[in-house]
Amino acid sequence: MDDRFDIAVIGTGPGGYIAALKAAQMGAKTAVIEKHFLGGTCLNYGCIPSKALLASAELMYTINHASAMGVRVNGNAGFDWPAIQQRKNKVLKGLRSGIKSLFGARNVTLFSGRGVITGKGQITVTAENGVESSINADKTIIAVGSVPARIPGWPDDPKRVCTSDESLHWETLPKRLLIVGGGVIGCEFACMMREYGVEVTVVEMLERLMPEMEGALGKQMQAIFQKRGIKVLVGAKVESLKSVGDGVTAEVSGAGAMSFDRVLVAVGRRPNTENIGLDTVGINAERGFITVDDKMRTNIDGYYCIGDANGRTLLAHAASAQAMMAVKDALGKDAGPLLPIPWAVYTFPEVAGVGITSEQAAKRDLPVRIGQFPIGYLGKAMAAGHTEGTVKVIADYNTDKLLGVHLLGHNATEIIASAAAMMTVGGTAKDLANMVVAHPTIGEAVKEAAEDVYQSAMHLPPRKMMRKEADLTKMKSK
Amino acid sequence: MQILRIPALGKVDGDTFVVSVAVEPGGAVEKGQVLAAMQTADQVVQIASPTDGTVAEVSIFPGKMVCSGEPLLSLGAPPSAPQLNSTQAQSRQNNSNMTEQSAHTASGQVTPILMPQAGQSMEEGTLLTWKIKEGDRIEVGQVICEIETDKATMEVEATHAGRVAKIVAQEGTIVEVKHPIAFLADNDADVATFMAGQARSAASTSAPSEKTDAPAAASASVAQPAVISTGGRVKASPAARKIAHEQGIDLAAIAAGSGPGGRIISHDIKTATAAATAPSGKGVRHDLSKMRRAIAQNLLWSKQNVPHFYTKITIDATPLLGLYRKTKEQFTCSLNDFVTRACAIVVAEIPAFRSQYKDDHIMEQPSAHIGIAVGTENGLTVPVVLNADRLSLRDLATQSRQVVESARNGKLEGIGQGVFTVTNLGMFGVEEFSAIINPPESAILAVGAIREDVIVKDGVMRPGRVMTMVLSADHRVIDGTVAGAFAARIKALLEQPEQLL
Repeated sequence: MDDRFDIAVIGTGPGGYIAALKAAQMGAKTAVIEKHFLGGTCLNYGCIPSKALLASAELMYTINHASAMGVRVNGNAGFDWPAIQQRKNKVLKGLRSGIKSLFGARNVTLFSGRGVITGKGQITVTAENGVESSINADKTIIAVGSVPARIPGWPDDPKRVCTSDESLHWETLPKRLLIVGGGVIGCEFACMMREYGVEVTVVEMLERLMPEMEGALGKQMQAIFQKRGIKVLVGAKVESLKSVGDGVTAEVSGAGAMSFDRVLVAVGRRPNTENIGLDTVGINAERGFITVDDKMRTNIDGYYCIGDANGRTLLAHAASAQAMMAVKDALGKDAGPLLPIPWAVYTFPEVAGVGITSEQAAKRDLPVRIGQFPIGYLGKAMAAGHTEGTVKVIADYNTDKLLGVHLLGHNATEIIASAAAMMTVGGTAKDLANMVVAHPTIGEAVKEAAEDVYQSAMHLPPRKMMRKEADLTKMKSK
Repeated sequence: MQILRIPALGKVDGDTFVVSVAVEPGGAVEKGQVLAAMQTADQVVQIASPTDGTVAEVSIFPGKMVCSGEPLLSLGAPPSAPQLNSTQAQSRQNNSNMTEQSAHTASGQVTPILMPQAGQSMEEGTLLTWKIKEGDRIEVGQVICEIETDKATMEVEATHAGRVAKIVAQEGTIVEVKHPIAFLADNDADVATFMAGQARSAASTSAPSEKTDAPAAASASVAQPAVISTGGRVKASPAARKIAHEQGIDLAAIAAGSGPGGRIISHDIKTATAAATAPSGKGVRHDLSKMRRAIAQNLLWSKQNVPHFYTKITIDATPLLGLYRKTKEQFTCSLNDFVTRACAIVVAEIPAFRSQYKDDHIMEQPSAHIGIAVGTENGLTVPVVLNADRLSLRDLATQSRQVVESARNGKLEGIGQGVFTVTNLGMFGVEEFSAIINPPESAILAVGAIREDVIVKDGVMRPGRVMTMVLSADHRVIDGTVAGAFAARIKALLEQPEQLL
């Protein structure tokens, strides 16, 4: 087999497979290396399976609330967990073979096995049966991704203390589930599992759910969860975890001992960059995340790193965007600028955002104006029964440039695209406020929130003018 | 040192940002004064100071995201009453604001409102009209009066809120800058006490008492008048001072002025000069005023660059005079109003008269805005009656009276918007004259007096009234026949003047 390539890509997640296809499309002789399933974490242990399970869960939620919409469901709607899992698995299989055929169509050579950098421009791939192959490539793109972090010292029986890798493929459902970590993944699972009849408790160390996201939205999600019977403990830590009988007992700060059947650890992800030969060529990494510049170049010429492995933005579409940049740069073309990257949470209601949050603006002392609009005021929200949520627009105080847009609401993950598009072209809050949005849609809330930046939203009453006295305190003598 | 912090701002903390900041380091604040405004999700909150003080450091800026409890600013001790030195006065002034000092008398607070120094060379202003009266409560920003300086007329806004206890400058009086024109106080009695204190210190020239440092300090910061005499300050109007300075006249030598309070006004100087210089026959140098300079430049340019030609027409003014006398009984109007109205109609009809020559094209203006030439003390001004063709004679008369009066008072209306000018020297008995076109217009009508003369019609002579008008036109835009058309139309309108009503 011809083993000289223009570009070699290690990993076939949303970073790796896009890089390989792009490189081939641009005329490069491309090799791609995958040690496990095609599609990486996103396809197999992340985005896709979770959205498949969430879709079934949301359907359960809708059915359970059908009477509010005047629809009668005789008896209690039920679900078939094995059938749900089977459906999800079918989706995954289909997508994996989809990637495989795309590789074939573009003449990308697939090497199955674990790739390790063994010299400048050289990668050794070890297949499952131990057979080694050697690849030479002018440029190498590292797209090895990340794995869920586990907590050292806790019981490691994967049947009891799981990460998302396992929980997406559970054969049975637990009765009482502890979710450690109230970030995006923790919230999606909490939301999903509740509809499958699981008693869910979420413990988050920081002061609110989804702490990296816009604060107000995390607080709203907490209220929504609590209304649905999901127990949420914020500002709390699981001090210890012990296997007890068939389940576990957790010591939770401020709540004492609590018993569960299973634990889902969703405290973050760590880079999958151990033992892939970084030291062989001297590639710099920090806490495992490979250091790259704005064109995804590492410190060693000819080596790029994209996706979760470089730690910049742990999102699938960020990996894909970075893949494009890296391939263009590797083939001598302009990589293009870093563009605003929206993020999405697939709870119901959904959460999405792009740009900085108000907390980040406050921390950096950026002069800003903020507008917001409650989704519930919209005609569509009331007509279709999706009244939860808010949109917030953050603009630069002086130039009116959009700095961030954040939404909690039905279809937020789709609606955020209009805001992201506006930010991509450097638009202002006025631009967002002036666009014409179809009526009736939830998307109108984005326009109204942009209007509210200047207190001119049509569907909000004007703000009350108030006067208050400042609080007087004496300065402490030093 | 005290720290003012942002109070609780409503139901939810977060997303609050600063909309505006109203104070600066070094500025004095009073209890109740608004320091900043913040916007939350459902309110705009003005944060007021709970106490007096001087701002040491400001911790916020417009756009900053804040929470309750965060520091707003730090305050040092409040300025003691007389502390308004000239630098502090300067930093708190802008064109139409006032400097103030607050004095705490035994029983209550009195805040004098001072004549503002609107311009570095301003020494006095005339209080034209009060917009408020004693007993009124005023707010910051409210217009309280109109003043006139040698440059312009302006409105004065209040920088302090309170109850107007006493107005001390009557309408029409001249007040030196930084001298009180009114007092704010809750108790009228406090004002009397305060004023007594001020009078005491004004009389003495030495050690100031607590309440009165400010006027002494304030007058120290006023630019010294250009008075040649050394014998103390002479009361003279700004115009008089200027003339005296130009002519090297000692104001002190003028025994008594004919202005209010014995003030020397420009008339007095002219009288004195005439008496003094008549025998010696020395020439007098007059510096060019801005207005005179502008007139000189514009009209010289017009005469040198615009190809003027002149069209004269004399009309039978008997019907006009008759109608004018009748109309005068119903509402105030002048003969010139009839002429202006006629011109407006024709200017609207003939586009060339409202067109202007620009280097490579002719710009036709859509509206018949007619300028009326007015001679004032200071020189020629041309206020404009807008859309004169669309006004009835009555409305035009009202408008023209108003804009002419404003022009005489130094307020020019509709500057630069005129497309045609009417100039009338009939009141001086002038039969006929030719005027210079007022750039960038393309024509001007010079109107003479209505005079008695012989009118010959069909070979028969009879006495009647005639009026001669000369149209000056820019031949780049207006040709002879077009000027002729104007003349014919004007004549037709003015000889059947009922059409003008």
